[in-house]
Amino acid sequence: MNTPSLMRPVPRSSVPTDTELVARCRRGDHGAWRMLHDRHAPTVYRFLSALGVPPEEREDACQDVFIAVYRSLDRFRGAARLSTWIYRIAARGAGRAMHKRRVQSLLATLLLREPPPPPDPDPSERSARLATLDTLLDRLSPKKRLVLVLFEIEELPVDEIAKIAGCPENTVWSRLHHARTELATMARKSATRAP
Amino acid sequence: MNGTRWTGDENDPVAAELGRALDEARERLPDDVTLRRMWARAALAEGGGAPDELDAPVRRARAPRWLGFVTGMASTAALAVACAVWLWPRHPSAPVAVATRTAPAAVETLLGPTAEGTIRTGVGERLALTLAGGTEARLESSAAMKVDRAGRAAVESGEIAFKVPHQPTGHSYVVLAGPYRVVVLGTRFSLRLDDAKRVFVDVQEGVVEVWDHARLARLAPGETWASPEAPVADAPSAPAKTRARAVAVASPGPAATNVDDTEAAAQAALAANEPTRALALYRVLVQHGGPASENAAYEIGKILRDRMGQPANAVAAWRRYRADHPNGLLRVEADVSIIETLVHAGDPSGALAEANDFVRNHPDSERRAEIARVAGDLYRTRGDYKRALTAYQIALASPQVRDAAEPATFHRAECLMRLDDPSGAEATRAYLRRWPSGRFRTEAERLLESGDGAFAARL
Repeated sequence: MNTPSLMRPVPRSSVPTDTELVARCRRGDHGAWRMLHDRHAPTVYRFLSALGVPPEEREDACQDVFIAVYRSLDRFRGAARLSTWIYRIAARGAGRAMHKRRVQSLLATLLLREPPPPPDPDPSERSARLATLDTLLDRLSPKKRLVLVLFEIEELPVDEIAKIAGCPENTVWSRLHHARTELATMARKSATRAP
Repeated sequence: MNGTRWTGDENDPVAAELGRALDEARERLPDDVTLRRMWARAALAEGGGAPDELDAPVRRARAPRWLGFVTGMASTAALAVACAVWLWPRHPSAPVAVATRTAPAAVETLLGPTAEGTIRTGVGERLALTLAGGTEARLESSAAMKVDRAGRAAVESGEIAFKVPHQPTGHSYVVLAGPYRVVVLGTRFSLRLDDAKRVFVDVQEGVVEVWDHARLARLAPGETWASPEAPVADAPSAPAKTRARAVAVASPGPAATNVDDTEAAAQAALAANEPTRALALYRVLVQHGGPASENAAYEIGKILRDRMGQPANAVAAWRRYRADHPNGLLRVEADVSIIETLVHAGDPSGALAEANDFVRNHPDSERRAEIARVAGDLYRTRGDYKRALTAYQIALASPQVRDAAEPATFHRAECLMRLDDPSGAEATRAYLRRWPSGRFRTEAERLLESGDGAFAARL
């Protein structure tokens, strides 16, 4: 199992910390921005995938997240981890992307437009198993999905999840419990229906 | 795999499949080509270094999408106006017999006085009309109402709100809904029939009585009434879940017969910041038994603590939950909530007793580490470093240590230092190596500076 790059401890001697990279980015250091991007982009991509951003929109959504990160670097005070801060931005970005999709879909329906052609399959969509998981996650409420994804897929500690979700830790546990129960129940139903 | 025991028995193929799917989701990372493409786009943000320079490339990239969105919105608005214009002249102010249409969402049509016939609204359509005698009716989406020759209304499906002018002495206005008669003197109320033909009455003003062969309920403003399930022979056995609405229940009588509705109403009451009402609804649910009852019993504690500031009552509620559901699904949550509440309410002894019970009784719980850490903190606060050390070691030995790892590691080291244990300094250094920018870095450095023996001697 890959350790998420956001959570991987970085030895101080060899690799600059996030705080150092942020400081260098503020001074206009191109290399630092590249390093910061490469360190966090894979996780943002995975996180957005798990939150239901479809493959054809993921790179757009990632771009939006990193643009927002870059624009806000001056406001990053280091009170929370940079990763927590990026997760928050990404979660909001995913919410906006999903909302935009719903609006576009509604408009297309109202204006009787042809639906867009299906996108090319993403090489990261490795299996039908993953597609089934995405379908099940789609049926969870956004709040439960966010908590489940952060805990089970991003493997973040609960105190960080609480900061990202903007709720008390106990609420995180409660949402997680319900999300797991619903997911397991849906998986069972789905397996029963499958031929 | 990251401990997905919650998915079920490890030998269960569905649980195993779900666990594998989560494993795959953890590895859903972009390939190198995608990553390079992503960088090429993210580099636009930099645009030479200064954040102010971001706008040009971003705007260039986004302009067509915005244009498409605005065009779409304008087209929708034009379509909505066209529909409204198209619908308006089709309904003269003279009495209307039957009207059946569909219209886009949020279109509301006003009709003049309406005579005998059936009125229906399509999906997303709303209709406001006046009945004989000046009663105003407002049909929500997908509703149907029959009006008889005398101007009396019968709700056939969906939700309809009525505003009835005050009736002369000795007269009342009656609306039929399935086998029930809703009798009013002058009021505002709404009636709804769900897919299972259950009838719901909400009163906003005045007094309403619900009758079949006898009077069933008398409702005051803010109260609601719901019929028992399936009042008619052809109703489905399992009523469809209705949408959440902010409603009040006068008493735990017939209004509380549908568990889903009551639960939804309780959640709506919470959302509307009306904890007392939510509490009453959850207490009704507790009487029903089943999974909803269990959840309600737990929620009562949460409302008492978080919404009503009554920690002692909250703890009592969760203890009742434990007594009623010793192996309940929310047992762990209840135990943890009790511990947290006791800690915050300033009852460390009670919290410690609960925490010790928890660690003893839940050897496999994924929250064991967290609670052992809390027990360690409580022992440490009272200066019992030996027991605190044991508690932190239990936390660290737990396979699900996760967010308890950092505090437990540091405080374990601190306890060793305070007990003048020779391994304390090394444990503190190990903490600093693992979390070089950790939450307790300053304290750890201070501990090391003060020296092992000297530190203990100063205490």
